[in-house]
Amino acid sequence: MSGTDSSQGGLTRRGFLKTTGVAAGALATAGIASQLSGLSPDRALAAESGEDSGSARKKIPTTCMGNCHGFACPMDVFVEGDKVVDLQNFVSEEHPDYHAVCLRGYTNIERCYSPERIKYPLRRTGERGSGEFERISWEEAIDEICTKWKGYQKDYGDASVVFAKGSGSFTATMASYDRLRTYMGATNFLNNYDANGVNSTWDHIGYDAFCSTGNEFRNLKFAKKIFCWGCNPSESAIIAYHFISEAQLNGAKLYVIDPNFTTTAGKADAFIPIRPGTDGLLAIAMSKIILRDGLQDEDNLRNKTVAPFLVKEADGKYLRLSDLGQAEAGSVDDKILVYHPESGVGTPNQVPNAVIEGTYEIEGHRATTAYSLLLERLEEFDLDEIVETTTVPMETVEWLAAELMDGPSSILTGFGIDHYSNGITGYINMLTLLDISGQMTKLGTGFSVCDMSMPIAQGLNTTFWSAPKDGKKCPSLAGAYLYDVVQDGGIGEFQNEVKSLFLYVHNIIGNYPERKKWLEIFDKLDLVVTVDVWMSETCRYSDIVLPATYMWEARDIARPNANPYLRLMEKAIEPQFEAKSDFDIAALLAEGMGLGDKFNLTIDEFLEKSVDNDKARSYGITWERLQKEGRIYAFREDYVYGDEKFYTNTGRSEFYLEGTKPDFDAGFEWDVKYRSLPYWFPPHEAWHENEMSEKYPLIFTSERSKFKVHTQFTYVDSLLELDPEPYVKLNDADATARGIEEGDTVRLYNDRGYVVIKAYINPGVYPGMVVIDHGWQGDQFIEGHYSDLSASYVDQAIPGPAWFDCLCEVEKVG
Amino acid sequence: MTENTRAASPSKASAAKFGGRGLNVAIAVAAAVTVAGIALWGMQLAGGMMQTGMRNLDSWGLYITSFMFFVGLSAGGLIISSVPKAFGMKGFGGISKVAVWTSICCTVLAIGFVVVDLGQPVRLWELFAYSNLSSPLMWDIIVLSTYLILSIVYLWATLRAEAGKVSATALRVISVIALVCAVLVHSVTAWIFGLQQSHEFWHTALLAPWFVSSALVCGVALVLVVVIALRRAGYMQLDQENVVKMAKMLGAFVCIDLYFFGCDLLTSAFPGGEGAEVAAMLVTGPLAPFFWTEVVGCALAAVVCFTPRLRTSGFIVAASLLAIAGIFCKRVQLLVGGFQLPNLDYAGALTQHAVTDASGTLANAYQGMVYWPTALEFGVALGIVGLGALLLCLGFKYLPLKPVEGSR
Amino acid sequence: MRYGMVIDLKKCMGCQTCSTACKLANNLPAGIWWNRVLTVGGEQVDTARGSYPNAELSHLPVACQHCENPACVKACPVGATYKDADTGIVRQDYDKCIGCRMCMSACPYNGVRSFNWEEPKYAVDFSVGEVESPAHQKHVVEKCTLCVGRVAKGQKPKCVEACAGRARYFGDFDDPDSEVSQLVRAREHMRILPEMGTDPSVYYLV
Repeated sequence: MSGTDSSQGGLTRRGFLKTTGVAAGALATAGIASQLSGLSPDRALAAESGEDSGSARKKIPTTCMGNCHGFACPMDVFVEGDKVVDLQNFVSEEHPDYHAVCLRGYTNIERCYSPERIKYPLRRTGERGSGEFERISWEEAIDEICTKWKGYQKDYGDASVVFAKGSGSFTATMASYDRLRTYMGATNFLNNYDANGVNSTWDHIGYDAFCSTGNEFRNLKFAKKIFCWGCNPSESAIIAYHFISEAQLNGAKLYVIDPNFTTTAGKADAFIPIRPGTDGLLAIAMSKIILRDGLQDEDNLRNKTVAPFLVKEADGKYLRLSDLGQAEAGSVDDKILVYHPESGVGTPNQVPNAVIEGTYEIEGHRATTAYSLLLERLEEFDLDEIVETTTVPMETVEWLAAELMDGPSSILTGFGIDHYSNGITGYINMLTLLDISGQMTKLGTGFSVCDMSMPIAQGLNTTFWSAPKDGKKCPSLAGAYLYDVVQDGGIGEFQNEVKSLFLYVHNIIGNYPERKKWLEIFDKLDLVVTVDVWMSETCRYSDIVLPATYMWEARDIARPNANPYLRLMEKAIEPQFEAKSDFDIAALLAEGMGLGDKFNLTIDEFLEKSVDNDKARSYGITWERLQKEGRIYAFREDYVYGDEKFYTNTGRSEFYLEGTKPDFDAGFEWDVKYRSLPYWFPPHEAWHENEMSEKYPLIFTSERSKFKVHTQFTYVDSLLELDPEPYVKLNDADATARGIEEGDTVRLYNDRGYVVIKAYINPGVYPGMVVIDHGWQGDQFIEGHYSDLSASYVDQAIPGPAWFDCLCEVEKVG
Repeated sequence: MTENTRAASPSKASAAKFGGRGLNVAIAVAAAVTVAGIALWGMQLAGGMMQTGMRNLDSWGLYITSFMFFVGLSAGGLIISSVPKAFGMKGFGGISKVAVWTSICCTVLAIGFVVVDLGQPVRLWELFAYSNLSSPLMWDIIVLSTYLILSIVYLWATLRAEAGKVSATALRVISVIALVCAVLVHSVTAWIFGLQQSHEFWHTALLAPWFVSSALVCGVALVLVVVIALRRAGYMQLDQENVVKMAKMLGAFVCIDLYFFGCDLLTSAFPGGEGAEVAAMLVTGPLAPFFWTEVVGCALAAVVCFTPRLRTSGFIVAASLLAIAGIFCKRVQLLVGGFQLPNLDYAGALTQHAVTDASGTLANAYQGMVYWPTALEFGVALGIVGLGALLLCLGFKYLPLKPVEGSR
Repeated sequence: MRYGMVIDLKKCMGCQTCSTACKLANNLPAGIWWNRVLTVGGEQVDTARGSYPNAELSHLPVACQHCENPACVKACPVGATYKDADTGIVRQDYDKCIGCRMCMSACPYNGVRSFNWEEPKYAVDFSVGEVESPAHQKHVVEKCTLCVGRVAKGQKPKCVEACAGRARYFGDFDDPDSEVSQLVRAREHMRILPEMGTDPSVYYLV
């Protein structure tokens, strides 16, 4: 709040401009000047002198940035002198579907000039977390870091230094850190954010270069039914929500399946409450209803899924030509086989009308179709039990199944389901439901996973830089296991001591579950280095903090996700303070590590090479054109994912996974057969049958709030005016039972920790659940930290953090 | 609030010995209070009105409440002295000049309260340069100025008439005009509020006559307090008969005022809906203390006025003060009550500019009284009251306000 | 002309983008919001009312309604708030405002007007937003101008341009062929507090 009289042009314009007069009517007669009543004098004079009002301002194409639905929404900023003074969203007349800037985007000027900016390299002088640092020079910082890194790598191996990238920013230059890691042979930390959902979806339907996951949002406009499942797009997908409302205006029905009555539920045609963590079961129930009524789409199963593929009973692998001695095992020609009583076994091309059910004896191999295995698996689930577990009544399940079949129907999900340790079960079962119902490969149908289902502009390729051929092979470490590694010197496939953590675009303390474990990890490490733009919680606990430039202070290209335009991020202003770009920081560190010769490109040379590829050329992208136009449309027209093929190993939707393995082998027991087909198990902790629930009966979750992107935008004044402080939302019944009233201060606690916070009563919250908006940082709570409540337990199939899998109790304070 | 007003009421000053040390001390004290008030006002302007309890959703407060109140107080004196002259009746002894002077002081006070409420008092001149004649506030400024001038003219004419320089007829004409103006002043003040459809509580045709009746209640009550005090201080003689006559009038006005209140409450509450909320807010809600103080105070005042045995000077003064306090409470109810029931009470961003208590929800902000003055506002208000007291005392010291033999 | 706005409440998701875009465009001081998105639900922003699972929650963006019969214009003693006859925009002249707050009290749409209760403070120490955004003054009343400067240049008000839900439309209600006139003809709509007789120029599609 540094506004003063003079800096804001406190003089009035009287004396500079004639008054607008007592009566109205000036507008038409006197032109623009008379409308400028109340202008500051400099601006008014400029406007009166007939200059184009924007002529003193430079318009510069760039983007917003955050790990949100838009990743990097295109915007133009206006620079006056050396300051960014205004911004506007990029509006494309030709391709208007994806263009908007959300409420946060319009506060970026505040973020750019925030007092939270890190000004200089800092070295910790006080206790971790105390915020006591001394200013050091870049030379000192780089020298200290590199000297130590060299020592650790010498004494404890290359892997003892861990590069932990987060998800705060996605730009082309992030490749520089990957390059540095690769040359150093340092460990690649897998943060696995949202991985339960993302990785299992990729396993099932593959990764598409145009949209990464399932169908892009434009497809929703053609849906007749939208099942918004475990997702609140009106807060988490603001820029794309219009696709949903437009669909509704076109007559589509929106059904929200969620434990909580969300802002999206408020706009829905029906709200289907469900017990947290049981979404996968509901999907199984709907599948069973469809099968019971014989409504399954067999054409879809036969042609678009692995249903007809024969699975050998002996090893659970597909029966292939090599099994019949007709191809070399593992070769391209080693096709999977299907069967038909008349044409016998053959490849799907040879047997187009293959059976999808049955067990057959084929040349000594007993094999069953994947679909029959699926049906067997589904037999293990009892409908009545599911009804009881999910609390969704039978008639509602039947109605949902019928509505889904009356498509085109789309499932729109996000990462609410992901955030339980059984998160994977939600995605594999929803996808299997779409396989069975056939609501997958036609216009208006399909599976969309929030920001992972936004278009990806084509033409940016930085692998020449991020993955150099002469680099070392870096081991990977799933983030959830770093604690075990620090404690025990290794886990499963990762056996190495860890001495230093290098964090960039990552506020791990503010974002990972079970914060206290992270504080312990930090304490045990010899050197924690964090690069950030603002003083995050992680910075406060780090040994050395390096100031990065704001997105408008250096040239870059935005990661192409979430927009059909490839976007240049033009440098609009000089770096403030001593901040340096990620590109330059990586180069400095490389220099310090003796790798300077590997970082011999200038930023412009690097960016030019990044768009110098055949893909880019096919979209007419050149570096010159990108610099001139700022953004280039590089996307295909509407299409339906899976219509042609799925980008999986089989080219089909895979409800059956052949020889599946855990993403990170932590050395725990692994049941391949169980993990090959849809399954469900309850959440590890947040479960009513868990003994712990007697002491801690409430499920603690956080939810995406429109006011923040993870821990970004957390200290923006304007947003804090709209949403001033953290609070816990709880159902009126739970509040009453604990004598809690609106606005009371309460303490949420369990054996791991506690947080003291204001309470607001919200009858939309699932009884037995408490919710805090995600993204607050430690100093904003009255006491404690909400991340001290959550648990670090993960399912080893995909070790994605499970923030919601957490029990607690709430009590009124004072 | 009540205590402050009472403490600062002009009776304090008039108890002093006239022309003596007491009056001089009173003048000095009042002047000091005035100067302190002006200093606080300076603070308010420099540091911003954020220092008051007023905010966007309760944009008026103690100043406008006091404005309403003092406009009302000013009425009584003029009406008491002009009615008998206008209708050629026997008056209340020689209190006429004192009553008019009290009126003048109250009018100045009322104007003072408007001025301190303005965000941009240096732009006051615009009121005359850019007058928007459709604004009830503009009407009020015109009528209030006219009223002030007329009161002064009337006082001057009375003095001249006593000196035989102005004919009784002329005085009578002036008194008729002054009377009409007095009634207008209160009606127009009422219309500032009553013509706003945006506040359920204010938007009633009854508001203007009700303001007149309230003005009569507190005006007469104030004159009673002042003259009884002055009589006791030996400043003037006044037959108890006249005091009783005025007390009876007070009783009647109190009853009329309560009757209007009853009519209004019934009309509001009977259909249910928003009107019922108004009634609930007053009777049992956040404004209940003010409502019940008014109703009980006025009822007690009426009892005193109508019970011959109770019509002793002490009781009459007590009854008058109760009536004045009651009317002040009435003003508080009206002003705060107007803001207490928002038309759009949906949750939204609550900033320091929106409501006084922006720490919780909107419902929380409205749970008690949405507005309560800050110490600064009390200070500025006290300063203005000090100015009134100063004027009053100066009048007693320097103006020939004592009754003249044979005057009426 | 009668410039006004149509807001499609079926598309409004309560995201508040209009609020922050307005705040930027008009360089609004701390604590001042000309455009507010209200929650029709519980007592806190974005919370529901009712009882689980039969809850209710929606949003209502509210700024100056630019009424045809504005209560504020009549109330202002010096004509500082006035209706522009050519555009129908209700405007506020900061230099003329005496700070009496008659308009705030007269306006039935609580909270659309702001008084600068102190010297305006800002998140950054230089002016941001539109070139035409007026310098804010202490102790005067201000409110939505329908981005009169932008409109004069042929642009839409910032909230309309910025609306992420694509729920806002701007145009001339006197022109029967304008998008806003057509929308109001085609869709069921409402206005806020019609009983106040102010004839607002903001229509909400429901």
